[in-house]
Amino acid sequence: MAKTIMIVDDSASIRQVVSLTLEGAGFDVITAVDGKDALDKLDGVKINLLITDVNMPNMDGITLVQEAKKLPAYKFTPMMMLTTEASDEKKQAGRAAGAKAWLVKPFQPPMLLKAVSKLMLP
Amino acid sequence: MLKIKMNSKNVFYLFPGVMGLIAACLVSWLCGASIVISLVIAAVLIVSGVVVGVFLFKILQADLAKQAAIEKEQTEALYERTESYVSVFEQLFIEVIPVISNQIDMSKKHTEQEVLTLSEKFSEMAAQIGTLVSSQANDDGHLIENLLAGTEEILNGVVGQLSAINEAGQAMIEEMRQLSSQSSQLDRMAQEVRDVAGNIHLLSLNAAIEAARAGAQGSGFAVVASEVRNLAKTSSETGSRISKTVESINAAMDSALSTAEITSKADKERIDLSETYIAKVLSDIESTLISFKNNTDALTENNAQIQTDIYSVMTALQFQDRVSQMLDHAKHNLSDLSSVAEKNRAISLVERSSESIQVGQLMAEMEKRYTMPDELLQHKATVSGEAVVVDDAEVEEDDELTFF
Repeated sequence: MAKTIMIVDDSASIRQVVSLTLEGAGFDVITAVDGKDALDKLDGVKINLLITDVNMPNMDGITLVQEAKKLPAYKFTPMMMLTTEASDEKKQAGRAAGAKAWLVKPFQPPMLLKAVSKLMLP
Repeated sequence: MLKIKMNSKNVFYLFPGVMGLIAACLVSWLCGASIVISLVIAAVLIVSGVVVGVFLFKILQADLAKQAAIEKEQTEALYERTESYVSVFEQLFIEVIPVISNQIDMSKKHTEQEVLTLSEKFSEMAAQIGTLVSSQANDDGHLIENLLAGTEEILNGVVGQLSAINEAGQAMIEEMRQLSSQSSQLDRMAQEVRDVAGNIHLLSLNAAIEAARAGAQGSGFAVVASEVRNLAKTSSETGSRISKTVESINAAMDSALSTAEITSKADKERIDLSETYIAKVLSDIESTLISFKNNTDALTENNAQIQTDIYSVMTALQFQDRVSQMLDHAKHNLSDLSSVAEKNRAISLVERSSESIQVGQLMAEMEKRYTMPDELLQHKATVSGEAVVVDDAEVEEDDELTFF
């Protein structure tokens, strides 16, 4: 069974490019437009990895990671940030929230796949 | 020490008084007048000096008051002009900013739509190339070989059937030849019939002679001999007709045989030619298919390169997200300016001061908003008046992906 990845980004073009990259590599993809939408969709559905943007309306990515980690079903789900932010300060905030990796946009698809394969739990 | 102000009232009273005193002293000294007269002259001159002084002072005061009134009027006009200019300027500012914001929104929306269409089309293209490459890879060249073999089999089958028809024709010709040889036997048999008829005729003649010799007793036998002669004649005629018929049958058969032989030869030539054509067609198909296979093989080999190109395009398409964020920041910066203008508009011009606009704080808030390193660099460079360098390769390869 194909593994499922959730991608959270307010930019439709980024959601599309990430979906194309991941679907091309054989993953199933669930998309959400912001942190709040993502939390609504995390209703117990099995996901193997969560990839989120940082700056989004309604709920930012770092808050999303914090909130998702509080849910028992997603406590151990690996999470990674995909953002234009590159400052160490923000990266540390992401790390503190529970993110396992930080990928700066614009990303090269092989780089995303490398990060995904490294984070994905068996 | 007495401090004397040039425009003070004292100067206007003292200066003409002193002048009057000096003039009285001079007049008294020059005319050698008595002290009393001198004192009178002095008193008159001092008093008249003070009177002149008071008069001049009044004129001066009136002038000053007039000038002050003019200045006040001018200042008020300037103040009014400035106030109306500032309020119009604020109005312009407040009205223009939403327009620019909407333009930013529109351009954001347009680029987003275009990029979505572009990446959709692109992914369709990529999928089509992928399908082509994978079908070619799965086929592993067997498809072309099978197609060639199948075509060859069908075409050779057609040639085989044509050859079988030709062979049947040949067999028929052989049968006709045999028939022809049998018809000559028929001719011989007809000849034999004629010979037998001739012999019977001779025999009937001899029988007639013997009947005549027997006289009246042989008359009956003479009738028989005559009938036998007639029979021999009829038999001989029948033999001749058989011979003629066999002859015409032979002629017709020879003609048919030669026509059949010509047709068969022509058919053989056509079949040979067809075989040549089929071989040519097959070799043409083969070379076309091989060149097609080579092309698809090259495509398969170039798959890795195509994949890299696809990745580059996918990376490039993310510009839209960056542009969209920058436009968002520009929009927010404009809205900051707009709210400063709105806030200050409520305060009257008199109460405003340079402190009502916190430039440093405003700029610092704008700085906090930026999410991309080059955006921040550009802001700082612009503020400090340095040349703005836009360098997309700000992020080092190593910084792109961090694992915690």
